[in-house]
Amino acid sequence: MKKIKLIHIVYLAYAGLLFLSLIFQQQNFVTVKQLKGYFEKPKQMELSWKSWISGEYQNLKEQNLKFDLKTRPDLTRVYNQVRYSLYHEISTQKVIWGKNGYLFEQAYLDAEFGLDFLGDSLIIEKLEMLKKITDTLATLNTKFLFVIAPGKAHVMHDVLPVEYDNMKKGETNYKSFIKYLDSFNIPLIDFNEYCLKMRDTFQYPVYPVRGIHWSVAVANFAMDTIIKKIEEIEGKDLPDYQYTSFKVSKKPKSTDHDIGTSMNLLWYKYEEEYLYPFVTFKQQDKYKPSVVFIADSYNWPLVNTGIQKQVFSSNNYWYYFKQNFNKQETEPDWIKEYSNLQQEIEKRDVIVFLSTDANLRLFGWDFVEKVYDMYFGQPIEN
Amino acid sequence: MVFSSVTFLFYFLPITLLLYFIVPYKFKNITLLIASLFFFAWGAPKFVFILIVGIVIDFFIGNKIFKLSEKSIKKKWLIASIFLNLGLLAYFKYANFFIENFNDIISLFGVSRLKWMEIVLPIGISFFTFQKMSYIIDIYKSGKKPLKNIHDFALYILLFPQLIAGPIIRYHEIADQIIDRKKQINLDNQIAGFQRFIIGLSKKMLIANAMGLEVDKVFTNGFDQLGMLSAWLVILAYAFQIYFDFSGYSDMAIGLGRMMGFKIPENFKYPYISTSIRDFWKRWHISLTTWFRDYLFLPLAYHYSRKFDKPKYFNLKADYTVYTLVVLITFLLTGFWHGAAWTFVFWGLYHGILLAVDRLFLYKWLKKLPKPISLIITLIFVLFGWVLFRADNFGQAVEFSGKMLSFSVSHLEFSKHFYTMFVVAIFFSIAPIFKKIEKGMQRFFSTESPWYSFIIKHLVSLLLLFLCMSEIVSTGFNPFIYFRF
Repeated sequence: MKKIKLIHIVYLAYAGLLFLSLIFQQQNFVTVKQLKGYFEKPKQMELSWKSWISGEYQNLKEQNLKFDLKTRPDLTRVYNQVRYSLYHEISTQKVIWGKNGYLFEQAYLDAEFGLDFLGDSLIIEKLEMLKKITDTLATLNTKFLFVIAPGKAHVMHDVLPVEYDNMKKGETNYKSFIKYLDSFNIPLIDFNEYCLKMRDTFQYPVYPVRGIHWSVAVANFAMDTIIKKIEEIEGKDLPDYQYTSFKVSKKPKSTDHDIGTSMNLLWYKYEEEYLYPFVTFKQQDKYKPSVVFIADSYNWPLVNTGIQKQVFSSNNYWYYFKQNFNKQETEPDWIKEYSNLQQEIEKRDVIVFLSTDANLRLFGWDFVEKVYDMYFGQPIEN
Repeated sequence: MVFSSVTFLFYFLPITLLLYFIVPYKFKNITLLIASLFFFAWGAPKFVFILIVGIVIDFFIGNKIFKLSEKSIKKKWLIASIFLNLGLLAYFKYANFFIENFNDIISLFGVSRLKWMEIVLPIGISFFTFQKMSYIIDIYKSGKKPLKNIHDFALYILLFPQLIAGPIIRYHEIADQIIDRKKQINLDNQIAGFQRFIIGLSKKMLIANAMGLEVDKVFTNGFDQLGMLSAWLVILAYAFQIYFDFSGYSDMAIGLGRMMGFKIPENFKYPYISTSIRDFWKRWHISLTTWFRDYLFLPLAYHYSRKFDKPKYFNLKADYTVYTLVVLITFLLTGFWHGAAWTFVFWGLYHGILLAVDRLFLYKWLKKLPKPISLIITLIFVLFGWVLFRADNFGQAVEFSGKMLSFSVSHLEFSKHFYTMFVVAIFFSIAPIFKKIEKGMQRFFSTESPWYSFIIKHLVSLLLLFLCMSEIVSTGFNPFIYFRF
């Protein structure tokens, strides 16, 4: 009697698991927690005789069925969790284990060991062009600030992956840029050195174990430093703000866990404590410059402090000099869609160029070349 | 469409099974046939019409042979069918190989190479061709009654569980089941079948794929870093990959068949516990070796034993000479069946030679040794064969074999995942050596097991299915942290 009942239960269990995804696919009342990180949706293809016979339709259909499967996010988390817990494997691309549970992206390690070195002559050439641009912009009352955001491999040099322990460091883009930016007299903030010093005194993470960027707390302090520098360059006093409270949390927020989030696990073990400052702004009738950040993703933690929005009259974020964030509604989504880029640049009071050391190999993201061409390929109007 | 795909596991299989179990019994065959046609058309859309035409022709020939009384005319129809089937196989599978080799030869004499558009290989052609031939030969040889309806014959050929990777089901093994299997479509068989399917899927997804990942890396990147121990580790890993992949597919086919009321014959019986080469070939790809044995080896042996009428040839007994000749031909063709490349041909020849030596003295010698020793020796022979099977060309096979005998030190590292699944693979390959374990496993999987075993084994199956589903859906999902230009 027991076995007959059991057999029916087992049968239902097998059928249930087999049909679960199919049934789940048809419903809309359970919200699916989507997977994180950046990945592209597969191409679609219309069903036609040609696409069927060539097999292209079937290949893309398989990819699309997989991508659109509503149970995929949860199944993927299970898969990732099993691989992570049993074998310490990470599914995120180009992320590798350092010591003491720190995670690094390959690009930062390459940058730290000079494996992506551009060469002095190219760096000098680019900085010469930049110098001409900044001098020209200065005559139009637009100031320029070069910010080198820190690199995790540089700041957390003592917990790099074991395989790098005996690797010799070559010439690096970071060292060359520092040397030549100084010689070209271009205003600079070097957050690599800043963060290295901070490690000795700051009791919270400068770099979280599972974050690719500086911690939220450090980003706040970095924003302070940038504002002070802008005040110095502009010779003006910008609006004040203060940190009214600090929260300490064992659970990381925002970019403090961006690698972790992209790992798409079921659960995480949190070993660090994170500091989260809260800012209040005074209503002041003070000068607010118009600033544009031409930056990589290190600007996101700065944007998330909320300070830029309050202290600047505009704070466009030209992401890799391609996408346009923090824009007005009338502004385009992409930089290339600006009808008059020169005007957009010249109307700013300050241009902040911000790049982590790992992105110096892509220096400028075409900004230098395009703007140089703009000013020196044609006459400028004062 | 492969079994380990989202399209199959999450869509095709549940829908097909649902329809199959819902429709009245008299429509089950046609439902299965439509599903199988769709399955084949999905994976090999260009060839479905060629296959259908081939099925129609063989159905007609089968009926013709059965109805005819004159043996010589029956034989002509048999030859026509074999010629047609082997002709198609030769064209689709081997034409590229022959043209390439022909071009290599003529280019040695300065003659310009023939222009040739490479032919795409239809999936499963080696399997369904042999099944079609088995149908015709069984009707001719043993007078087995052909199937009444063409759609039943089409189902025999196209049955999706075994269509692309076997087992090769001989007509006489399944004929009655196609016509009547009502009693076999029951809850016990459905559950046992599904469990078997899950075991097969787990073998493929969890073990074979893990082995294959590291093996492929080594064979792609070259053998500079390979030392002696790691070479043996890699070839063992390949042995596990091919065994768990192939036997996994067979398990899935047998399991799916059982769910639908078919009893598909076993294809593997723990080949790596073989204590001789002849024992290995009784345990490895059984459906293929029995096919070659019954349709090629035995007829050839009979034919040549009448031709070799002296008592001795080359100082060896006539029956041994015949055996050697026939086993070499059979295994040369067995190797060639596996793939259109010289490495497969040499692999087949290698096993043919081993079997000849086995018959001469090796078997008797191995029998005298303790079982573990004869097992290891047999395994070593098999592993060297797998080098030929896996290598892209003869040079690579020689280089890898050299590493196995080199006494050099390795600088290769393998992942924890690989080592874990390697140990699991060892256990599941050789567990039946230990009688206690074998008995325990039989008791555990039997339908008469106690209720707690019943619960545990099905909970394990459900967990394995869940893990396989998560692997199928997630493999290849490697996001970036952020989008970067």
